[in-house]
Amino acid sequence: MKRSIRFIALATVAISCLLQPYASHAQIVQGITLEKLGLLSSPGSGARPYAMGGAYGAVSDDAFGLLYNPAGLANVMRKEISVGLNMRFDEITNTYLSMSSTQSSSNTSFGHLAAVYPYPTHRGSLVFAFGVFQTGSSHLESVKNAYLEDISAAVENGFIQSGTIYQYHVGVGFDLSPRAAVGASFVLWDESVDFNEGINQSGTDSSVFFSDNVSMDLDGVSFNFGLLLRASDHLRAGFSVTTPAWLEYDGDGVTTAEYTYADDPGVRWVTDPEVGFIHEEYTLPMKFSGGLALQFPAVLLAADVSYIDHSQTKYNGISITSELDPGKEHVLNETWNFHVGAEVTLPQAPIRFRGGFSYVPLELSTVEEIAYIDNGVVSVVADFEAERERKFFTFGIGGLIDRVLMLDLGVAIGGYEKVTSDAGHSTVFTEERSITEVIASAAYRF
Amino acid sequence: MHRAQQSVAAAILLVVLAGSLAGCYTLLKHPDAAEAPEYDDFSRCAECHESYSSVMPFRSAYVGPWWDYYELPWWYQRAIVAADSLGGEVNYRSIMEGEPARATGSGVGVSPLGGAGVPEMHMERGAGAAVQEEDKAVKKRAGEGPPGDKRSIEERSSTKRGSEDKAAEAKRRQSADETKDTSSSDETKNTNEKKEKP
Repeated sequence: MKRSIRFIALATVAISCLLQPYASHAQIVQGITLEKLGLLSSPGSGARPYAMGGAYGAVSDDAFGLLYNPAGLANVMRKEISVGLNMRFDEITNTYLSMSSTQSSSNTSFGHLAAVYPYPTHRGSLVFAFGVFQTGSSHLESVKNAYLEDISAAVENGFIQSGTIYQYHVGVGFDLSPRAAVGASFVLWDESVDFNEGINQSGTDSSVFFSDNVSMDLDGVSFNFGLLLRASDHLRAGFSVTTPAWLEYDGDGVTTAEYTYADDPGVRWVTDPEVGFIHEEYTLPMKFSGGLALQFPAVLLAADVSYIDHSQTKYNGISITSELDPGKEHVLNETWNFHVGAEVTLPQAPIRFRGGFSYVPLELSTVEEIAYIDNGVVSVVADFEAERERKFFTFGIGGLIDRVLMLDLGVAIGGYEKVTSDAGHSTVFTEERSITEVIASAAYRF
Repeated sequence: MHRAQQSVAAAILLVVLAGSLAGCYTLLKHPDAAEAPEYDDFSRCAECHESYSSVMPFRSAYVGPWWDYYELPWWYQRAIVAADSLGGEVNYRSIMEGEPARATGSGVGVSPLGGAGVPEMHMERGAGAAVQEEDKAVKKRAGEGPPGDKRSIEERSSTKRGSEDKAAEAKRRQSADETKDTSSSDETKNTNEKKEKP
């Protein structure tokens, strides 16, 4: 099947690779797993930063400084309590040759809870902050349908995963000089992930149903460091560095399979549940960010750029490399992310309107095409080209009530499209994903 | 577990390091150490500093209610409330006329002058101008040097914060209480008198 396009049927259970920690030859699947878990890209948190396209590195004058630039905490002059809610709507359309299937899902979760305390000073500032932020989502529901000619079988692959990545931040920001502030935060990662994958193969002479149920817990640590330069009353520059994130997944999973043979309807074979235990270690690479903010009484303009070399991602201490193509060393690419945003303040009312754009290209170069059963579960993996890179258009509104309560709403709409082609450049498989996120935040300063 | 211990240790180190570095520029104690307890009473900041921006330059260009929200330190608001109670000698007022002032502290309510908003000069000339103007005002009161200048602070400490000044200040406070409800021209006079105070 599709020999000409470098398809290799991995002789491992692709979706249950987490159950086989010693399957070092299945490293490529780890890249796919990371993407499925939502670990590779961190959209951030907070209605105001979101609405400004994530261009917040040089702004960061609230609790979200913990996430975007801890040095920005030095700009907080009032005690603050902030809380938020995230809603996410996904739609994934998978097309395999002529068979297309679309799956929609939505998820509402706690967005963030943070507190900021500026210590009273006679000059400069010293600000402490704590917060728990949703920084990513593992919610994923997809269906892939295919007809496999070589085994004369129709296959449906259903994948449902739930989980929300939270980061607990403890940070401090303070002024080094009138023009410079620095900050740092200590980050604990936490997540509970559950996924279920069902593969249903119906052939002319047999049918097989395979299921894989996995539960995992994520723990991890990382550090953020930031620098904020106030060039003038109107111009700020922000820089931040995120150290490698050391993450561990622990959990277990159960796989079962049920076989029925048409030639002999009375024969039905059910495998005993196979239980596996999971202990995986990932090291996510460092992130470097820089941004500028130009601020006037009625307008705030901001732009950020960040660089991550995802090829430095490690799985159990080893870089994730491709077994498909020895000439292609890495499965994950380096990315340059761009964010721009603006905020307009109405002159006679405590209301602001925001808009932004973010360009966050895909980190992964490989896609798992479909998994089917033929005397065992097989995953078909291939490279893809990004027909449409991941981009988000954002907008939002914020209002200040009685000078103490800020209510913000941010919306991000975007997505991407992956295309896998054969040697003749004919499209074999496409994955199109639409993402809409709505974030509401409330911050009280006293 | 070993990694967790390392992380906790690193976090503690980070906080300690941050705290120690904070003294480089950020001052947790008033630089006039000789009378630190007095100076550390934030309710009296406004006696010398008309705006916190005089010691917090290069903040931002926020105006109006946003200035309150972003720029006005919560501890300095106590100074404004205290100054208001002395007869409204500090030129803080809202940039948005007629708008209720921010609740102060634990909800004290609207201050007599329209609340803790943007300083008049800040409103008219922007933050940068306010800083320069405030520095000039403080410099004039102190005799010389910017607010953070050690020499001027020491001189202020030795020559202008003596017992005579304290007595004069007490007398002035008494006078302020007596003239609290008098006409606006009296208030202006009172303000001018105070600005001449060392």
